[in-house]
Amino acid sequence: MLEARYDTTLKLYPYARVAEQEARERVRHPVVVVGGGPVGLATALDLAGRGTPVLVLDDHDGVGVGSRAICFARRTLDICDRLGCGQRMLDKGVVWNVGRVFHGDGEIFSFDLSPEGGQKNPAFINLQQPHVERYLVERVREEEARGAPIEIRGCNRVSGLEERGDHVVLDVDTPDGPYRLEADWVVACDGARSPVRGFMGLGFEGRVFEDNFLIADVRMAAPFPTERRFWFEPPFEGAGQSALLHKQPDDIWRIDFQLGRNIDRAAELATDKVRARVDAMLGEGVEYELEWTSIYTFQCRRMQTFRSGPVLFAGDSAHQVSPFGARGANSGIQDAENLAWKLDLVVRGLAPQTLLDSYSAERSHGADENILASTRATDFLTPKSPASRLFRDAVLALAKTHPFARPLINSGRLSVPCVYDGLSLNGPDALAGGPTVTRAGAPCPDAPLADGGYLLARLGGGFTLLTIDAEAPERLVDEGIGVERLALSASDGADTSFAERYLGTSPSAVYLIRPDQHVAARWAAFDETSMRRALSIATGRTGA
Amino acid sequence: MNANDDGSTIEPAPGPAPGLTLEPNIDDGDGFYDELLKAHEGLDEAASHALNARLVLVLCNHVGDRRILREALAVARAAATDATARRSTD
Repeated sequence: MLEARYDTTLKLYPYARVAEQEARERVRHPVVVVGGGPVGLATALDLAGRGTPVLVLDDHDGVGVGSRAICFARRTLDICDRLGCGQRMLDKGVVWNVGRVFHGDGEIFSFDLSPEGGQKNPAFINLQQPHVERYLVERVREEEARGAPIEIRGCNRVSGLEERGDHVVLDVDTPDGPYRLEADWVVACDGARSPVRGFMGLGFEGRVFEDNFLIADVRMAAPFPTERRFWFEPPFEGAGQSALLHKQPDDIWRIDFQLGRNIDRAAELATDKVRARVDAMLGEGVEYELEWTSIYTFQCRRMQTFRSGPVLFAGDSAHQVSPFGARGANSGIQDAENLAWKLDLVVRGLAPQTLLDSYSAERSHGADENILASTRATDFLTPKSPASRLFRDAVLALAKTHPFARPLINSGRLSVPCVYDGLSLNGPDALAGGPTVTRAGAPCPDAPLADGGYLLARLGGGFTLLTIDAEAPERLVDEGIGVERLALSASDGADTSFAERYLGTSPSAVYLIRPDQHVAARWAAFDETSMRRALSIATGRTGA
Repeated sequence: MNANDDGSTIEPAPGPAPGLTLEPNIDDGDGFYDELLKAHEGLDEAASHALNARLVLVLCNHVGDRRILREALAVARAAATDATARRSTD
């Protein structure tokens, strides 16, 4: 019997019986993705777009209730542009740049994310997670129609998993009863409570925080500006120790109250009690509807390694952080893009399986960065000792009048993509005078081009050899792996940002760029031997 | 860096950069100590702790150099450990 664990709002992939359920022989799939959330869907879309067949199994028939993740960062939009749904997200999302921090009823600090311009996508949009999942499924359907090898099976719950040397056998429950299938590779995108992690008996190490936070998403036509507003010790009755107000599309506002420890969840979620808090915050006479309420606690922890033989973990199943900083879904999408091209090369036999260990190394490096930032924010927001509280309050008291204390205020450091500094896929960083922002391991920053387009859109999804005022072959193939040249000149930049980000003081540059748009290596001029070696390193065929 | 008369700069002497000053450095120490205590006058214990915390932040920002701040934290922490150790052996 398959019981729903939660209600779904959008039935995106209703259950449909497939022939495989009656097949006498188990069917072997190259890649099975467990979980149809944003991370699983992004992984599947990326793989199928590269031509590697992928089957997504989800234990429900669509998107769960509630807005959940609402802040999507530039890197996520850049990746979704490549996957074909970035524009849909941007069109629907609320772009915001300004954040204000209050202590009591006084504003102590504000920030503006807009000055760093010259990129197609904004620093952040707010968009409810169900919209993101819907756009990703729309893209899956479009790819299916195009004949791409991608399939989603709703109400297919993985109930058991057995490793058999070179493959995995999965037990799957459906409304029509169980069946089994085989997979060469399994990508577990099945969330924080990952059943797959459980079947494999793998641990999840880190800190669990005890503070409870109440989310109240309300629908109202309010004149508040599109800003992230955060209060320490909010002046409104019953708001707890901190509060957040942030706009989403469709006149929905996210309100978040820090309730503290040892609370009665059911009592706090009673409509009257939630409404009393929201009334106090919004003031008399503001009309609104409660759209979704939820109480959450959080953890900052990760698996020791994101690969266990043929099973790979991505997103919340592999790592979890507090929501401060929007580092959950955003880092999960980066996992997906890091994994997809590597798994594609391995499935095709063009790269060794050990390339997948670099997925674990690179993304656990990212998870560590996120966990560190998120743990620090949490320690500031919910001081755990008298000394921690003393200094937190001292920072807030000084910040109102003294600028020096403002950078110490931590209401969440917003998600930025990590640089894979010093990790195994990096080749030579041999561009004298090159900017640090584009060093080996860094994600390529966008830049506006004179033709009205943007650089990232020109990079495509394979390996790219970006030459700036330098000669190189148009195309190069190394043991089956192709590299396409993108030839530009410094004068192709719409302004100086292209040259500032990619040349620095060098008159020319040659970049080898990975399919996930991270820099693999860079030089001042093309050298075939060095380039082939860097490509070999970036695909795990040669040690650095 | 200091400027010479001709506008050129004097390079700092080679060798390790100067670290945390632990030699006497405060002019009229008694006067300073008096001012420190006066700043706390009339405050209860909690308010005194809060003032100290603000003072620490103000001074740390003035110093700025993370290496020196790290040394200072270690010196302050070690002094507390010494004091605790002495008390327990009395």
